Amino acid sequence: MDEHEKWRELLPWYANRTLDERTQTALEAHLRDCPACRQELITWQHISTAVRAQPAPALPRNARHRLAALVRPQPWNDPRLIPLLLRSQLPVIRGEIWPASTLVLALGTFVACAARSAEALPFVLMAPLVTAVGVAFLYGPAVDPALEIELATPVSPRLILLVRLALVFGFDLALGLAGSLALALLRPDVSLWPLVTAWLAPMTFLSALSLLLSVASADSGLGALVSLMLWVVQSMGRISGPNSLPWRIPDLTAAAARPWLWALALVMGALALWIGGRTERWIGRPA
Amino acid sequence: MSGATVELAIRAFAMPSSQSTDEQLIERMACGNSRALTPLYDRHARAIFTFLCRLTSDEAVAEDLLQETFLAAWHSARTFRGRSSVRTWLFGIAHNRAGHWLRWRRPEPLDEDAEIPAPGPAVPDLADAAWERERVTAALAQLPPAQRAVLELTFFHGLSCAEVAEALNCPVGTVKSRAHLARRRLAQLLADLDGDE
Repeated sequence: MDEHEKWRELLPWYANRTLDERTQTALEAHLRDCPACRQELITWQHISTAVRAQPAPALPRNARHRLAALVRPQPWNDPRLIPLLLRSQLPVIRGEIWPASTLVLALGTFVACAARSAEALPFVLMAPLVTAVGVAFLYGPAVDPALEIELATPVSPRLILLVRLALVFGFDLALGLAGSLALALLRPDVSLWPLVTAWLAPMTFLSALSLLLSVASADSGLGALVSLMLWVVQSMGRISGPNSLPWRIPDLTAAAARPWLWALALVMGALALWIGGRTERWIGRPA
Repeated sequence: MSGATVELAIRAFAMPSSQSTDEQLIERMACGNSRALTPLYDRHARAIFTFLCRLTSDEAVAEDLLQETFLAAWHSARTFRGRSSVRTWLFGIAHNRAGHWLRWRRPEPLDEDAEIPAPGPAVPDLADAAWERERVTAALAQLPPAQRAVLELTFFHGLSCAEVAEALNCPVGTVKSRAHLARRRLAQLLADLDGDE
């Protein structure tokens, strides 16, 4: 490519003044000696004027709102935000849950170890109850008195609920595993895996039931009370034997009940998260 | 909380200020902060919409493509590497969307450089009067979209040659040759208009 052609190609960007200073100066020197390029520059200036003179259409009024309706906040896009979300919800969860869960499960471990009961029954019965009561207090006006502000943040209420659930359930799960490990070490007749499976399915089921009732009624007390009553009756049936009560109670800690408990827990948990993500019902209600 | 964590939290959740740069807004969008999209839209939507209107010659289609452009920017904010300005990046997405639409509407290639015959007769030497705005506007509408995109980005939006190349995702040499071909085609169209009158 000859020198003239090289400068000629740059004329549109000389006309729109985006060439760097050095190139612009060199091109101006070429223009002084080249009538053909001067003529072509005039053509480009005509084109530039004509293109800039075209009317700019007005932006459609609703386009911004239509776009906003399609865009949903996605703070979980960044995995680094997950610990941050977990940490942000720690102060919101009732502080009593942590020592109470630890104390009750430690007591369950001690009693199951000392009483030498079959299948470490006290521990198996206490783990689901303590988790379900804790989970009941994850939602409601007592936990979120400033829901209006929370709803204005880019994190969805559903995600917040899921994070709190992960914290409380995860904490009790860790305690349950620690207690089971201790029992398996202290009692030669107890095996770790059968013990874990004995309390894990009832714990998940009872927690899902408790969460669903709390979310559906927007009343933490109801979730806690119903799960407490259900488990007290279940425990009485297990401790005193099936014939001690006037009606027959299915054994929810039995292996045969576990597939049903997992399925019900899945359905109730999903329903609770769905309701929890869309409800604004307690705004204005006193905590 | 460490400084890095606080910074991350601000990016993800805080309301961006009007002083936030385009790059800061993209960083926040990459963290899932949908609030950052609004100021970015307010700054660039008009230019992008105008560009799309010129390429498609249809305001309703341009409106849909505008929405697609900003949605694509929202979803791909994490892939923005800062090689070009955010504005150039948005023009690139818009051009891509318009290209899809044009290909779907008429199956000819968007890049019509190959259809242009090799330099033949000289470009007609037109008098200044021939470059009357209305006539040029009519002639511009008849340019192939690939050539029109170069002229619009260069003269209406004031992009440099390298920025046009970045937005159109093609080499700088291709941008220069498209500009040259556009000038020839425009001059020919105006000469034809003169002949018709």
